[in-house]
This record gives sequence, C-alpha cells and structure tokens, in this order.
Amino acid sequence: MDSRSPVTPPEGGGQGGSRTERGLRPALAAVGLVVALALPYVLPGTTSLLVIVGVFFLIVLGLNLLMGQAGQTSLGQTLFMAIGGYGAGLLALKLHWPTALAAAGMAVVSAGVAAVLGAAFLRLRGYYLALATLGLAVITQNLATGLGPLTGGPSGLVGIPSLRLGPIVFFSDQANYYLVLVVCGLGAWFVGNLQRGQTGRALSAIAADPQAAAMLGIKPSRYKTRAFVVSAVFASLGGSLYAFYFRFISPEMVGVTVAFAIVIMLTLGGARTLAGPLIGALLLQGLPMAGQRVALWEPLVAGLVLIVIVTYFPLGIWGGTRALIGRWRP
Amino acid sequence: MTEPLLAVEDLTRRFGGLTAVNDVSCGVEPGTILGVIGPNGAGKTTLLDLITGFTRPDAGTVRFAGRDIGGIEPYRLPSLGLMRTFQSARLVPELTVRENVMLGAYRFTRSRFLSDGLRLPVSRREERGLAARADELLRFLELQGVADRIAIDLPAGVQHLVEVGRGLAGGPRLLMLDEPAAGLDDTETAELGEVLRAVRTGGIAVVLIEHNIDLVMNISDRVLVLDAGVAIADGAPERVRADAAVIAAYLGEEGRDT
Amino acid sequence: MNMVDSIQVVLGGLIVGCVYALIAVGMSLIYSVSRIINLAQGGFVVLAALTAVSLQQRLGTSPFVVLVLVVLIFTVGLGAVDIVVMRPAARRATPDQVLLVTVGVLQTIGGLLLLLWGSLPYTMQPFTGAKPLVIGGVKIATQYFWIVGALALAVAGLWFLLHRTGLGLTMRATAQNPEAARLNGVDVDRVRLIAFGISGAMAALAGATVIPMTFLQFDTVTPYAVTGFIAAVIGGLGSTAGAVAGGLLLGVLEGVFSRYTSSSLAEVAAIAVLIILLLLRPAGLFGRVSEVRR
Ligand SMILES: Nc1ncnc2c1ncn2[C@@H]1O[C@H](COP(=O)(O)OP(=O)(O)O)[C@@H](O)[C@H]1O
Ligand SMILES: [Mg+2]
Repeated sequence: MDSRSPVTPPEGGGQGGSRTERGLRPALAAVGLVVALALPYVLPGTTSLLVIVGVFFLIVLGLNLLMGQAGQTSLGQTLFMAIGGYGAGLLALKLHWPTALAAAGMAVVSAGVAAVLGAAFLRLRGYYLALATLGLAVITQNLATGLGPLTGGPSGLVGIPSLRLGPIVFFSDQANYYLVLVVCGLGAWFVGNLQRGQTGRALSAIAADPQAAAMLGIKPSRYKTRAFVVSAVFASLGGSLYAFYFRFISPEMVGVTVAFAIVIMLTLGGARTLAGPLIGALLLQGLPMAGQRVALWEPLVAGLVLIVIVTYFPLGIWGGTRALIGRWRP
Repeated sequence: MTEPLLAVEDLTRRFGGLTAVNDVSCGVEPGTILGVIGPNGAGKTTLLDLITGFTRPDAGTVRFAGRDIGGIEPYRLPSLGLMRTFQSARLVPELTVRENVMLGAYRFTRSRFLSDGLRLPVSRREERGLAARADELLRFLELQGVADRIAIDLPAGVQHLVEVGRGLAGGPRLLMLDEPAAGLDDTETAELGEVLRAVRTGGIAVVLIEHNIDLVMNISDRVLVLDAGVAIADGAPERVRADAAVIAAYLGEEGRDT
Repeated sequence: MNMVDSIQVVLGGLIVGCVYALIAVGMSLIYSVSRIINLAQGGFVVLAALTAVSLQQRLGTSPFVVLVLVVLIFTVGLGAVDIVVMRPAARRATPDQVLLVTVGVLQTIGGLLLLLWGSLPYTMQPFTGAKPLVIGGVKIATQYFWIVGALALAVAGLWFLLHRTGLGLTMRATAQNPEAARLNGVDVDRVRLIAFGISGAMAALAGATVIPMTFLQFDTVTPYAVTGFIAAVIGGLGSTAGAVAGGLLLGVLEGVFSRYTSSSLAEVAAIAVLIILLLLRPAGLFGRVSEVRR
C-alpha cells in the first residue's frame, strides 16, 4: 500500500473561514448566551414557549446536517421524535426507567433505526427520498393513533414523569428552559464543529456532486447514512425532552403537519447555518403564541412562506442576509 | 516482472450505436507524463471515466499498481493512489479554494462525525495539518492570493488549477487531468507546464488530456492520439508529431482551423 | 362476514378508491408532462368539496349547478396556481425543491381551509336524494353513481383529449420527453398549464361528488394527498390506466383493512406498500422503468 507521509505536521499556516467571521463568532455567541440566560427574567411569560422553540431548534439542527449540509430531503423526522417521545415516555412510565437513561436509550434506538432505514432510503433520488420519508411521517402519526393500548391512541400518553438528573427534577418551565438551553448549546456546538471540519466539507461535496466527491475518496452512501443517524439522534432527544416537559405526548405532536413544520423551519431560517434553524423555530413556533387570531393564520402563512422562500430565497432568511452582507463587504 | 503503473488493455465502451472508446490499450510508467490528444468527441473523457469506474467497459481491463480495478467503486481509488480532475471543474461550490484543496487530502484524515463534532484533539491536529498542506500546495501553484475566495467565483481556468491542487493534495501516484489548460492564457499555460514537470520530478505519473498541442508535445514522455474512439498513434512526441495518420486526422485540421 | 357484507365493504372501498383514482390521474398527468410531483393535488379535492358545500348553502341551487361551478372554478384556479406558483418554481428550483413548493401549496390549502371553514367537519346533501338503491340486499347510495360517473367522465374525457386532438398529440409528445419537446418548439409551459387546469377539474369532480358520502375538514388534506400519491406510484407515475387501477385497489384494500383493524393501521399498511414499492419497483406495478435511484 501507499506509504507517502500523511498530512504534514501542524506548524501554523492557514485557517478556515474568513477572518471577520472568525472574530465575530465568539462575540456573537457570548451575546447570545447572555440574552438566552436572561430571557426567562426579561420575558417571564414566554418561558414555556421558549422551551418548545428550543426543542424544535434541536430537531432542526439535526436536520440541518442531513438536508442542509448533505442535501438529502427528509420529511420524516417526526418518526424519531416519536421514538424519543413515546419510547422514553413509556420506558419511564411503564418500566420505571430513570428518565435520562430512557432518553439516551431511545436515542440509541433511533440511531439504529436510522442506520437501517438510511441504508435503504438514501439510495433513492431527490424527491423520491422526500416522498419515502413523507411516508414515514404518515406512518408515525398513524401508528401513534392506531396502537392504542401502547400509545394511548388519539388522546395520547399521559402521566409521563418529569426528567430527573440525580437530585434535580426538571418540573418548572424555568428548569426545563435551562435544560433545553444546555442541550441546544451542546447540539449547536457539535453541529457547528462538524460543519467547519473535514466532515462538513465532505458532506457539502456529496450534496454538490456525489461523483466528484467519490473521486476524493468520500463514500457518499456512508456519509448520507451517518448524517441521517445524527439527525435521528437529535430528533429523538428533542422528542424525549418534549415528552418529559409536557409529561404527555400525543399523535398530533408527532403529526405530519409537524414533520412539514420542521422542514419549513429549516428552509425559512436558512440551512447550513446555526442561526437559521433558530430563526426558523422562533418564527414558526413563536408566531402562533402571539394570539388566537395569529394562530389561525399560521398554517396558511407558513405554507405561503415556504413557497416564496424555496422559490425566491433558497438560502433562507439568515443565509440570504449573510450573502447580502458578504456582497457588501469589500 | 515489471508492469506499468497503469495498464489499460483493449478497452471498449459503446453508447448505443456509437463506440466512444474502441479497443484502446495504453500504459503509464511511474514518474512519466502520458499526453492524450484527439478532436472533440474522440473518447478522451470516456477513457478517463472508464479508468475511474464512472462508466463500465463493454470489454477490456484496467490494471493499476498491479491490481485489476475494473468495476471498482470510484471512492476506493484515491487510497490506491489515483486522483483525477474533470473537464468542467467540479469543485464544491460553497467552499473556499483552501477548503477545496483541504478536502483533496480527505483520504489522509481519520477524524469523522464524532471526532469532528466534539473537536477532539485528533480532529484539531488534522485540521491544522490539512490547512498547512493546502497552503503549501497553493503556494506551489501560485494560488495563495485566492486561498480565501469562494472557489466557484473564480474564472474557469483558475478553477482547473484548484482542481489540480485538490488532486495533488490526495498524494497520488497517478494524477489524471482532463483539459486542465482550458481557459488559461499562454503564460498561465506555460506555468502549468512547469508545475506538471515538477510533479513528474516528484515521482508522480500524469495522464494529461489536452487540446493545447504545444503543451502536450513539450512535456509529455509519451503521447496517445485518439480519433473516433480509436488509438491512431501512441509513442514519443516527436514520432507522433510526424505520424501521417495523426496529421490527417487531427493536427492538419487543427492547423487549418487556427 | 357474509356475501352481502363483503360486497358492501368492497363498494365502500370503491367510493374512496374513485377519489384516490381522480387524484392520482391528475398527479400522473402533471408528472408526465412536467416531471413535477404535485403533492397538493389531494388538498385541492378537500378544498373543492368544501367550496361545493358553501356554494350549495349560499346559492341554494341544484347540486348540478354547484358541480359545474366548482369544476370551472378549479380549472381556472389550478391554472392560476401553475402560473403564479409552479412556473417560477420550476424555472428556479431543483426537483426536490419543487416538491417542497408543492408541500407548501398543500400546507397553504390546509391553512386556507382552517381560516375560512374552521376546524369542523363538513358534509352535503346527496345529489339525488338519500334513499339508497337496494339490489339483492346490497344497499347502494345513488351518490355512488355520481362518483363513479365523475371518474368515468374524467378518464374518457382525458382519453379523448390525448388521443383524438392535436393538443393531445402535443401533450403526449411532451410526456415522452419534456426536454426534447421543448427543444422541438413545444410551449411546455402552456402544456403544463393545461395539465394543471385538467387536474383542477378532476379535483373538483372528486371533491364535489364525494362530499355527500363523507365528512371533510382542514386536516383531511394530508391523508388524501398522500394516499392519492401512493395510488399514482402504484400505477406507475405517468399512466392514466395505472393511476385508476392504483386508486381503486388502494380504496378497496383500505376498506377491507379498516374493517378488521383501525383506519390508522390501514393507512400504515398502505404506506408501507408505497415505501416497499419505491424501494423495489420504483416504476410502479404498471409503469415503465424510470430513474428513481442514484
Ligand atoms: N453518457 C454518454 N451517453 C451517450 N454518449 C456519450 C456519453 N458520454 C460520451 N458520449 C459520446 O461519446 C463520444 C466521446 O465523448 P468524450 O469521451 O466526452 O469525448 P472527448 O472527451 O474526447 O471530447 C462522444 O461522441 C459523446 O457524444
Ligand atoms: Mg472530453
């Protein structure tokens, strides 16, 4: 085999990303953190909403890797939300598993399911993949409804305990908010690292041109499956957090509409960024809370926005803004 | 027993009624340059596609480093030491020039989802090494000035050079280039020639598909001429230049056109 | 289950089957001339149904007038959707982005229904009285004939258009290979516009004739859209006969399944069939081989 020296040792040299952005990033993150920590005190009425936004941010972050980075459309992330939500809920409720262990266990199960499904599904081209995963979303909602004895049927699974870590029980809105904040922070850090590293570059290469990527030694099917697995773990954890927070989960919470909403959040905010998913989750989950009348308009507006964004602003709100700023910079 | 680094034997590929590559044989020795010329549609790109497993041959074999690579999945080739570029550069659109070249060294990196996501030491070390290696190659190709530019914002000629850099980053034993001088002016073409000579001196074999006859004749150790899928000449540049069939099929016409 | 029961179940399945078939035929037509999968097709059926209900209530005219009105509205309406939404999307976006656009359209329809009709289910008086025909113990609602008639009319009309008119010839040529047709000077945009118009008429026929037999509301759009699409895939996207067969087959299967299990689990089975089909036989049971896999 080849014995040429691998990558030459460190010693300074280049850096990834433009200098301005690299300087800005820690500053932005610090400001974001302070705001996030203060939010429950500044806007106490919104804490519950923010928990939900956080849960969806986490799920969209995972999808960002699969859809944004690797270019594989999945309309079926609710399957893994359901595995995480129902699975962890049932383990905790019926078998009295420690809640955190139940969530972790279901994340592993989701990863396994994604690995198996991914191997079969990700061979499908463009919209056939989207359609097959849409099938998963419909199956998910119907199984949650139809397997009554297990899932509680249409009225959902009630009596799920709150998440508990050692002596701390995450019962209040605030406790859950900070929990979700930590998990989202870790998730964003993980996805950001991935995007900036060799793995992120490899995923981008696959999205752009699988053949050319293969000619660099990248095996597209392996990367796509792994991206699917990571997205499944994020969705599963999101689902578990969701169920432990509400102490309840129902078919509607993992319904097809939610599956669409997750994709809309990513597209709306802008894929391949970290802020995009947050903006998307805030807009789509936040708007309905602004009042009864707004909630009634939300599905219509979400649909129209999806059409307009996909057609005219494929980079999304955040991606588009960044591109604009980039163009103006000397 | 000595076998060339790349040994192509009786390779044939048909597209419907058209035989794009017709019973072509050729070989490349380590540290030499094989120039491949021929009119548009002669089957040059198809020949590369056959060698790299992008299309399946109807007949014939391809051996690389003593190993049959017929029907191999393309992603295995870089680790065998075979890299290629494309006729229309296929860089990753949203990455910078440096990042594209860093990706070329993919086969040397061990960090994957977990180590990259958690920024483990192995990942950080490799990242620094990759960037340094990329910058080294970009200096070699005199592209350091555009290292931070988004690759596809650059002119086509420069993109081809970046692809060459990406190919070299993979530490190949054989580098196959599909019309790398397309879009370069005369000075840049001459510089590319120097680069390829230096590459050869480093012991790397090169297959160079080119329309620029002067470049090919100047730097190749051997030239293969394809016409309508058939290898009509194969030998030292001077001999090929003098070959009557080649003049009739290709060089003569080229002379008339330009 | 005795004979009469069995027939009753199959008949019930065929009603839904006709609706799925009409959705699938429309999707299939659009797909064949433009390679766009219009997932929203099933949504338009529900929108048409509730439009029919409201027209009937407001105008108080006969159901036939309502039927004609709804067909007109949706023919023009889907043409407008094509011009305003699909044309720019098809120009700018990749195929899976275009699919997302149709998801957006579906979502928009659901949103519109929620806004204008609220979340309550709606139904309508049967066209020709509620008294069913009884043949050998089997009860057949007269509305049944309207639904089957709508499907027959749609299929016959489409066949006539495609095989007996110059426009149909152009459409069939486009379906063979949209790109080649475009290069040969066919106004592909116009062909797609017409296909959307026709699919609108079909959605209207389906919605207006089925609503007296069922209850529909804003959240029934997704099941219709998805099941209609499955029918189209089973039939092999692009084949009218296949779409009809696929729709009827699915309807009957769903009827039979829901008899034994819940309707949710019946849908699970239907979609499992879809996914397995996509993986194993992407060209459908009746279709030609197309490029589905990488
Ligand atoms: N995938 C393909 N399908 C059909 N014909 C092809 C395909 N690829 C190449 N060809 C045909 O094969 C011939 C050789 O093409 P190519 O190898 O690209 O030529 P060159 O690179 O020498 O210009 C051309 O006539 C081309 O049209
Ligand atoms: Mg070529």
